[in-house]
Amino acid sequence: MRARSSVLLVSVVGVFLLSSLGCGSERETPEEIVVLSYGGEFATAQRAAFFDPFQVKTGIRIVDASYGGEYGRLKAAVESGNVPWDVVDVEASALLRGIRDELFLPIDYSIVDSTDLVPEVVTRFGVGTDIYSVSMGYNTNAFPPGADAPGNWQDFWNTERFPGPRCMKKDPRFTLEIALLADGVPLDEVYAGGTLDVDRAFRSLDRIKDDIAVWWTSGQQPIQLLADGEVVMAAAFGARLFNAQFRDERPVAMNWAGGVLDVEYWTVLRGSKNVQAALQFIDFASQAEQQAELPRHLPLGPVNKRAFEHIPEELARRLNTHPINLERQVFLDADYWADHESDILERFNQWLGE
Amino acid sequence: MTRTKTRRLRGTLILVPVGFLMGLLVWPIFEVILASLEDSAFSLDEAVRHYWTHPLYRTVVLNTLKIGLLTTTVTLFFAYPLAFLLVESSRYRRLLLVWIVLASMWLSVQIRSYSWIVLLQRTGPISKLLRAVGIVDADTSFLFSTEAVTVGMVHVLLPFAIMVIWSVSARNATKAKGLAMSLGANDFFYLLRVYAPSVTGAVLAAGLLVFLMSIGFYITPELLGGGRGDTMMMATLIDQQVNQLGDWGSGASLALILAVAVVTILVLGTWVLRKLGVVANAAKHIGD
Repeated sequence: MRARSSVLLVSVVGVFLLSSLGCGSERETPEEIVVLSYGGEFATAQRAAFFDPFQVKTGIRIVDASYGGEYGRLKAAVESGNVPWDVVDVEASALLRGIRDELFLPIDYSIVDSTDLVPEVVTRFGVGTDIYSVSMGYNTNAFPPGADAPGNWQDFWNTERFPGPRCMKKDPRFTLEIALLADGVPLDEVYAGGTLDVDRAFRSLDRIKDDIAVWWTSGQQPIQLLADGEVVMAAAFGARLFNAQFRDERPVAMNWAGGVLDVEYWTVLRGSKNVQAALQFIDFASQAEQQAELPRHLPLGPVNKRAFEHIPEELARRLNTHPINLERQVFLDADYWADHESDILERFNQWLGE
Repeated sequence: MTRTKTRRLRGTLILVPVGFLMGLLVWPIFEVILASLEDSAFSLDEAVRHYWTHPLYRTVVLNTLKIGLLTTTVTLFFAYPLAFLLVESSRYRRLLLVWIVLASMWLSVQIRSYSWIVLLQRTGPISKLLRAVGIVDADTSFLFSTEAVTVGMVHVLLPFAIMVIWSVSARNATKAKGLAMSLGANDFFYLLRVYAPSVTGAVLAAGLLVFLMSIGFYITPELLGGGRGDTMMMATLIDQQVNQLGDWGSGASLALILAVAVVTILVLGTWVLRKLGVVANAAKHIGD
């Protein structure tokens, strides 16, 4: 009787243990790799330009996961040793912070061919993938397009002439730059002296705070809110706004002027399980043809110099990195943010809670 | 098998999942406590002072309490008559009502919160209805405010409150009603002087349960609150600390504070309920 119950105990424990061993197995030659990106329309465009063609070429399937750029998640994954993603798409300042926190593996440039890439985006731990903007969009039912329509960030701040709720990114990056532009700071003086005038930016934000109905965290949120008329103006990813206006014909209008640009990078986290396949993917996504394919789905600036050979002129003209659009925007200073993000983020969260 | 053998067997088998739970649930909680003490740069009393005086944390705690109390009040306001309805219903109607309540509870919280977004948005049915009736003169959005968050949370917590109040009152209700009626009470008297006092304990217990659940809410305030400062609750702040800032220590500390607060309120609340002598074992029924 004693023996029977202990046999039972051992077998039940055995079943529990065996069932837990099923998870977390490693793969020799991967049938799939996981790419962490920003979801929504952006992920759809990446799927068409990168993920599906990569699968056709190599047979390796890409599973995409999405996040809103939360740096803490990456840090947590690396520190816990449990990294579920093979390739991660990060913003420029996240790249720099990650380098400092030693989150990334160095890119093996014998696998990734970087000859045609713009030199600034070829870094030791990350390979640039595209240049994106945060731009202003407005709802055309609220403000019909024309001479009286809102055209810049000062109009965004002008709640008398353009009343209604707005939404902005729940992130001091981009938001502080926009606040300065709305306060009248010229484009080339936003980073005067190599720093942001943070106090001035927060004073500027104070003026608009009550009219911000939503602080969005996921890229598709503001597009949906704007198209539904939940908000009348939004600071959102310019490429997605552009598609909403021209491709999906939603009641949304935008322009590139006053936008804030940033580069995003492919990285491989320390502890990633399929490093070879990850690097293969990054190499594939950096080629001119693929880089030219992405703007067809979402008007993002390619980082491969030869990509423009494959992009027709009318499409090129609408991209955020075309010279006529580029000169009306300002680049986010990734170094500045890598140094100050923690402090400013805390101040920003505090400001939100006041 | 003999009685002792079955008991021993049961004891042995229970040990396995309990052991699993201990390992996978209790140990990580210890880890969180350790993380909060190790990672943060403060000593213990520095830490306490830091959280007490920090304006953001104070705001969030006040928000959490405010929304929690508001939610609890509104939930009890609706749960009270609805539980009474369950008590008074005939068998088949009661079955139907119980199923409706339970079915609502089984739906995902996320889906239910999203459905409130659809209902409360500017172009949503509620806005259109109010406009048609003339209460508002333009399409208005009711989203992204404390009120919207409260509505969403009440929706999720109402079934719990109803079930708690009903399960307690049902035991005594039929007997008490029969007695009262036979002694000449009319419906109104029964409702006010017999039924109401007997369920007070259950209502308080339900209130305690609802309040404790509401202060830990995450999804509903996030979705319906719009990420604004006045709807930021503890869980949102913890998420921010851990996911955005990557500050394990701070997030763990906040989670610990929340956990301690919940346990303290639970213990105190149960003690108060017992002291009031009202439905002496109200707390026992919470688990039903």
